[in-house]
Amino acid sequence: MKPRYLLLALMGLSLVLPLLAAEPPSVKPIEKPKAKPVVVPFELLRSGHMAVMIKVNGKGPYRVIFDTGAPINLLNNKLAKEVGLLKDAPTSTLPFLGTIGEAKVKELEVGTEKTTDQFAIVMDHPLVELMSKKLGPLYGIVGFPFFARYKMTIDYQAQTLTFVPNGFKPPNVMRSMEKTMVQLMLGGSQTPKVLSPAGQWGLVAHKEAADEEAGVVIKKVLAGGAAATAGIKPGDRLLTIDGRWTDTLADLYEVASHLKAGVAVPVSIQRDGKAMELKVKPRAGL
Amino acid sequence: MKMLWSCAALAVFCLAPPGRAEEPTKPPPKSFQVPYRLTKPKHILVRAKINGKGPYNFIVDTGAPALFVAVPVARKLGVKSESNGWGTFDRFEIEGGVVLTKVKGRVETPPQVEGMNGLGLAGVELHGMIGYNILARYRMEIDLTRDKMIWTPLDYKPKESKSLAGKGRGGSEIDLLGGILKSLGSLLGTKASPPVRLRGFLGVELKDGADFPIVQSVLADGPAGKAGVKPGDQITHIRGRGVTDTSDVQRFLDRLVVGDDVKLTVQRGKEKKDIAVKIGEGL
Repeated sequence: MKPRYLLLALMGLSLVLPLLAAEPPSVKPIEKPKAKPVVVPFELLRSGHMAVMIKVNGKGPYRVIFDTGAPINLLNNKLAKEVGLLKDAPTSTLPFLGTIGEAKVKELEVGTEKTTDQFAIVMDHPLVELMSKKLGPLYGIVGFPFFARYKMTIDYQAQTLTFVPNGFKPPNVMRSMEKTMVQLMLGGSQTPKVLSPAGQWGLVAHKEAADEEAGVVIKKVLAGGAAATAGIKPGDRLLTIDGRWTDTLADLYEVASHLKAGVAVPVSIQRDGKAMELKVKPRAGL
Repeated sequence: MKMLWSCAALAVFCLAPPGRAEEPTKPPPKSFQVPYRLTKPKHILVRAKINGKGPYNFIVDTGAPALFVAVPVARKLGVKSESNGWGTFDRFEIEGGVVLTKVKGRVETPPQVEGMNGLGLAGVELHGMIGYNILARYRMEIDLTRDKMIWTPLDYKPKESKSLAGKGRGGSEIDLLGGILKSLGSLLGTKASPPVRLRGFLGVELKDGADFPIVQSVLADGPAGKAGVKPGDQITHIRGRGVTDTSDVQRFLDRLVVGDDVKLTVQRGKEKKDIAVKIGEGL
């Protein structure tokens, strides 16, 4: 994170492109799946949040919130100071948020599970500060950069988190947010997103503007195509594909954009008021 | 730059306001495959229909003490907040088959949602968060290398979560940031979800050949079939631009809309042919 450069980037737009080009590729090594899942107990706070104990670069333990809704790890300035996180990192100061910087955390331990080389934002998040006052010391939030690396099971009844490495390499969310913001500043308008089916279904669907029922209506089934082979007929109401709702044409195309040719997927339809399950195998075409 | 930090603060869906549990319905003893997608800022997003309307977009958020439903959504559904900001949602169905009845939720638009929507940061419009009072009823398996989560109902009644701040709303600074980003978004003309366009349709099966994509089969009733494209044709050019594999064709087609006329140049045996195709609808 280079705040000064970014500030420039947002004001002087000519500097933007080299900066983006310099974005480092994610070269995190794939973690080999371990045999044993790691079970980490969590504390259920009376606010309904979950708290876990972490160690940062061997120091701690520190109590933090475990938050699936946090795209970044966030640690407060007290912790950063004790661990020496921001020693060489550039920082800025904001009226509401205090000293802010991005730190590379060499070693982050959640329970007994240790990960290396994660990024964390150092900031005194007002909500964490507030909760800290009411619920005992909380030093930050652990989120996506940690849990994305695991198949994670959350069990509120047992009050445990279970982690098994899954080889997923989480991208740096701050970088992608930078990109989005820079694009906003540059272009202002958003380019339309093209929903592009990955396979060929051989059907034409339709939805009247006034139609508020679930699903889309099959207008045409092309003879010899994947939909025809599966038994889909004109007039059928297509309700779900692969468990996902297809309530609009955009939904339909969005789902289809993720489904590769050659792999059969379950499709639920309604014909003459009766629900039916079919399997469609999209073909390699367009 | 400072704005980026504000975004970072906002992107964290962690809310201090209170939660209060309601009577959970008896869940059926079966696992659900819950489809999700990751938003641009890597929130886990699921879709839910409320009282048969929607779908609406919710973040799966252990940092939220309860279900949060944005005010405009609740208003549209005719769900009134009963006392101090809570409303009852008769039927709450999460994509993948999870159905809850008589769910209590906060009727409020969290500043995070407002800010993310205002700037279009999520790449999709957000309508709220699903938090503790729903999440705690399931054992949730989240694996981002799979495209669905597995939710298994637990025989567990979420505890009542206690109010933290007397008034319930914490973090007025975050409110302020949300407001700033929202108004910035409206200045820039940003929409919460970008416009989408549906790709057009040719009706051919393709495979890669040595030099050009080869038509494997043609749907007789599709645009290419009607125009006279035949199996075995090698597509060499589209609108005069050379193509060498199926992904080239895909890229071209992504830029075309229904009704566009395109010239396909094909090699059929020794013959080179130009074929005019009108891009159709369908997939």
